[in-house]
Amino acid sequence: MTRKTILAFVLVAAFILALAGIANATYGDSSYLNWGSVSAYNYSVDASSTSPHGRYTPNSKKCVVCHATHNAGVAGNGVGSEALLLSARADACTYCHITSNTSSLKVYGGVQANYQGTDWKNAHNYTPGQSVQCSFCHQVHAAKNLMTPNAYLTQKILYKQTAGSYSANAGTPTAIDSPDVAVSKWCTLCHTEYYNPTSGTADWQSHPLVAADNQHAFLGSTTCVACHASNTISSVVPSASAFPHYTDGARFLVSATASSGAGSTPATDTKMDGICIRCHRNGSAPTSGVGNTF
Amino acid sequence: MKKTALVIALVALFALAITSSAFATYGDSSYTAWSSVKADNSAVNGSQSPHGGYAQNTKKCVVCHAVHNAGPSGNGVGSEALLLSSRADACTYCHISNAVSTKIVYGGTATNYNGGSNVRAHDASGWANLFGCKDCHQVHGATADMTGNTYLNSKILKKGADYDWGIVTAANPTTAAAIANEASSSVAVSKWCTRCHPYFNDQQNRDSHVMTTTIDNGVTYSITNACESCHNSTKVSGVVVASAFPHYTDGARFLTSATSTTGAGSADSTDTKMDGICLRCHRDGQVSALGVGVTE
Repeated sequence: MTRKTILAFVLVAAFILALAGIANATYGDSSYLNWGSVSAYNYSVDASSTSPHGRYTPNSKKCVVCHATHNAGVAGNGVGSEALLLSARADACTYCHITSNTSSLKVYGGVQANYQGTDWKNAHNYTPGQSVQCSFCHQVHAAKNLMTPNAYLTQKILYKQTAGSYSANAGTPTAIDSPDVAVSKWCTLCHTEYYNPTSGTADWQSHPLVAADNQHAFLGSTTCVACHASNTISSVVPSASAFPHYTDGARFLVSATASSGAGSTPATDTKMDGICIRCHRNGSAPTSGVGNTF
Repeated sequence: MKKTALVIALVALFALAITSSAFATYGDSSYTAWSSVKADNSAVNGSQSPHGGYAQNTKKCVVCHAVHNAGPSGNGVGSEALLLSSRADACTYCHISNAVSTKIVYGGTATNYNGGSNVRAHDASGWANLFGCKDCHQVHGATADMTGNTYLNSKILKKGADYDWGIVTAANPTTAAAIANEASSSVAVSKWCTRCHPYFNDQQNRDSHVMTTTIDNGVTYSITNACESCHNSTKVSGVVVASAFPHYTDGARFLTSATSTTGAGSADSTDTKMDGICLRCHRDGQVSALGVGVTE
């Protein structure tokens, strides 16, 4: 290699490095921040500020953990993303709530495939083209005008829809609704099977949401979670929020031999009678209820 | 003794003759103080600026350029474009270090311009000295170097060979023609900035913040259709100064912070990562406190 060739290489390398310097200067402050690098700082600004979902103040540094103003995209490479995120909106929650231990609130058993797979039986899950995404139910920043008046739904950052979007039988969630009732009404955005016999039409096509009458039913079924009560993942009750994300029970259902809960187990099939017997047979000593005397 | 005195006298005379010769050679090529020709120039055509209003009878060129004796202090050892200094520092005397111009930038402090503080300034020492006044401004407003946009012309911002590094859309093209015809001064500037900062973005889901006049209550409460929507720090040392942006401002990257779109708690941003930069638009500021992150 001649001296001239070496010199040419050196000059080309210097030129490339100079260009890189310009690029860095251009994008410098637009990059993402790691949550770990600012969590202590944010805590010092607002001791209640342990979440990226709220408690934003002018001096906190949270926005830039998820959004890069001028250099968004996978790995902050500036090639574009959704809402200036590292990923698509559908996957924006994944890092903290599924695949890492960043949040204490883990869902989908910490397995990405449980969220982004095709196992609709046990999960609200997301597959491109069959979307039930986090962002469909949750408003990540709890923007107040996108929240319902119900405090529990807001705490779960479940966002409101226009009044007519809910089932007519359910009505709009109100401030005084109990958490389970509010959630049940809220579910009718997609699942319209809300039947309150005291206000709805008799002989509806869906199971009534009523209190126990101790003749036909020995447990109340006033809300969705009365039946869709599976709360385990791999037989372990997680810290929170198995339902309605991903549970051991098919369609989040559980089965039992009676209202006492004896023999309780996640339903492996939505057709199992144990799902019904859980309420329709007296559990103390199954002498009352469905199918005891025949 | 008489001979000695005669020799000394001759030598002295010779020396003076040489000096006189030097004065004769360089004399008319030296710089002229603006103050000494200001009245003459004004008398010709009312011209108060060295940036324009040149006429045959005005005396402006020689304020900055010495035809045969250029260089620092007019010492004739060379400079750039026959100036007293380099091109990068040519504006310093009038617009930074002295009150010759009414338009003082960089807080009147040369180190704010040439001191390495890129966070708060467009700084000539930054980026391997690739940047200076001349990289944005065409000091004489030469028509061929101008964009054709009235506002940009008034700021003697020169046109570039390209804008936006290829990120051009049909709705908001940043071509030279589109910049020339842009009616909004702030949008024209924003498109112009794309010569170096390729962030002009009229579409969602790109790599840079969308620039739009659409307000989506629930998500945002102010428009962000121009760079200055966010980069709007206007102060130097706590005082509002004309043309603080985009030269040197109190705000990091010329950004400001506030608690909401009302501007309550407005302050110059000390850090580009502060949430207040976002809350300025993404929170509405009413008593009901709509917007981002107020309910948890």
